[in-house]
Amino acid sequence: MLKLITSVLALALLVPLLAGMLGVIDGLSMGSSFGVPNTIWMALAEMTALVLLCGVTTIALRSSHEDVE
Amino acid sequence: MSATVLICFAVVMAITVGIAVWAGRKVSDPEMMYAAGGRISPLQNGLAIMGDFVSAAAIFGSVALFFTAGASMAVYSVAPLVGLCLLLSLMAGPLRRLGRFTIGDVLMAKLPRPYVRMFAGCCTLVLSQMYIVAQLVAAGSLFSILLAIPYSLSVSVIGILVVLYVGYGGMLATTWVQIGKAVLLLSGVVLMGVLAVVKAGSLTALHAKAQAAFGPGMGALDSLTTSSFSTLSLAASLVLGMMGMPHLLIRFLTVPDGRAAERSVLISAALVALVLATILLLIGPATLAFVKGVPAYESAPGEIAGGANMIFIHLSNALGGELLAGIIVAVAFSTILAVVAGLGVAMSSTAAHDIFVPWQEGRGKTPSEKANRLIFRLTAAITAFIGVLLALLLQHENVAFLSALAFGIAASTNFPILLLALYWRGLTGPGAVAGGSAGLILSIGLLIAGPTVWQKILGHAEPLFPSDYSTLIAAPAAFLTAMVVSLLGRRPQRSSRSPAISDAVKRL
Repeated sequence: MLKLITSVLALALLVPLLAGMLGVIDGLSMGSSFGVPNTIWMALAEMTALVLLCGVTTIALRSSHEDVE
Repeated sequence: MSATVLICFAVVMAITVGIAVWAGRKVSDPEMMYAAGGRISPLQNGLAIMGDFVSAAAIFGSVALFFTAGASMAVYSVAPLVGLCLLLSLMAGPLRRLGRFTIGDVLMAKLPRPYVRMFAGCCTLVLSQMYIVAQLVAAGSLFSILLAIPYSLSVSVIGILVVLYVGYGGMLATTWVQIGKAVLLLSGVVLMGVLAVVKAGSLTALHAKAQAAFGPGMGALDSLTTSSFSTLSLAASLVLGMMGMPHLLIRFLTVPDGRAAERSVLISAALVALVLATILLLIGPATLAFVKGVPAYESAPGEIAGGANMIFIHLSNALGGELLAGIIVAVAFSTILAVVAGLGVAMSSTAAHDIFVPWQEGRGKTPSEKANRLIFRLTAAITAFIGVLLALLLQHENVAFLSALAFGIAASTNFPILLLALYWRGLTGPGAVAGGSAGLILSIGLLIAGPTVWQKILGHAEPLFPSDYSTLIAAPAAFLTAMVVSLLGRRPQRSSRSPAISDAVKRL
């Protein structure tokens, strides 16, 4: 179940990426913060979220190994 | 070319040859040759996966893309992490538990039929060879400019070194070359990012300069591809292709167990994110701020000296002079060697273990360890020879398409077969071969029919297929074909999932 949840979360994070590439969020993300375009901040935030998701998945998988073993 | 660059280059070459010689002495059995004895730690393997993924083409290409398309290159930064995330949750653990030397082992656990293993092996050979050619063409062009040597000499030297690393040191040498390269690359990229901010004065000042050089639209996301289909298909190629590239997948077989395999994906994801984020946030804008419009880096107004792939090298020169440029050239060299060597190992182990062994067994013979090792080394030499030959023939072709084709084939052949083998108990041998064949034919066919090959290279007025990226069609077609053929040919009285696969999936 944990594997399924994390997979769905990963796919859910793929959606904003694709939507962003399609320009759907392009209009919402115009402008900049600290001089950096908001699109770059959004991409960085998504990358951070994905690394965190990898961390959560690893912990979840470790727990599930321990459950089985 | 300055003495500083040559010295850095020579030092890196000497270190990597030293690693190959050291590893060659330790390689005593097939386990060590194909999978580094399964004793690589998660941190080491994480560095090696990052080294395998972040090739010179990826670094130079991403930087060049930011230079020309601005923030649109974000898809190249985010998609690999989605791929790693899915790889971690779906495949890393089962691959390690079921595989021994190659992904053919994983398929054999589910579908114990030699022809499936041989088919997967052939797919691996084809797509890895294409990826090797793409890397060799890019490397040959780059080093012939950097070192002022003929293109043919540049490509041949890399080919010879790869034969040495793979043939003599096997997976152990390749892994340590990857680790060394990953550390060098990581340090170089972070150092350049810091130097860029220091030179500009602040992050805000760096981006202000970059936006002034780029003009309006640096933060827009819509300038990379021409249609929504192409964008989606490109993202699908990058995400799914990552889960089908053999040289990345066999990395999971070098660690002791499934848990270590999963941990190594987490480490590689963090490292890949660090490199790509630094490029997106700092290095990409720095190329606009310090390279664009600078006469020293242009051969003619608006034209980068040496082509777009040289932008990263020019930036290193702008930020740290000849010393930093020399270090970055050396890093690029080790990067190319490491990636081509990784591909060479994937191909050599596939030829020896997935094709030679089943072929011999089919003839009623059991191949000796010596014969196996000979095939491994012979494949390394043949692979490098064919790679060099094709790289010489394709010197002026667009190498991006060979890379795209390799990822597209991986996403449409290896990935569907592996995923179905792991998670669908109804997959049959004919279904796997039919699905993989459909993916292979469609991905190659649609690429040929696309704008670049059909229109630009073959000279037709209109392309038969509107996009250069076909994964959105080829990958689903592969899944569908595999499932339909499996369902049509299924024998209901017999469960096709072996105890090994059931156990591996249950333990996820």
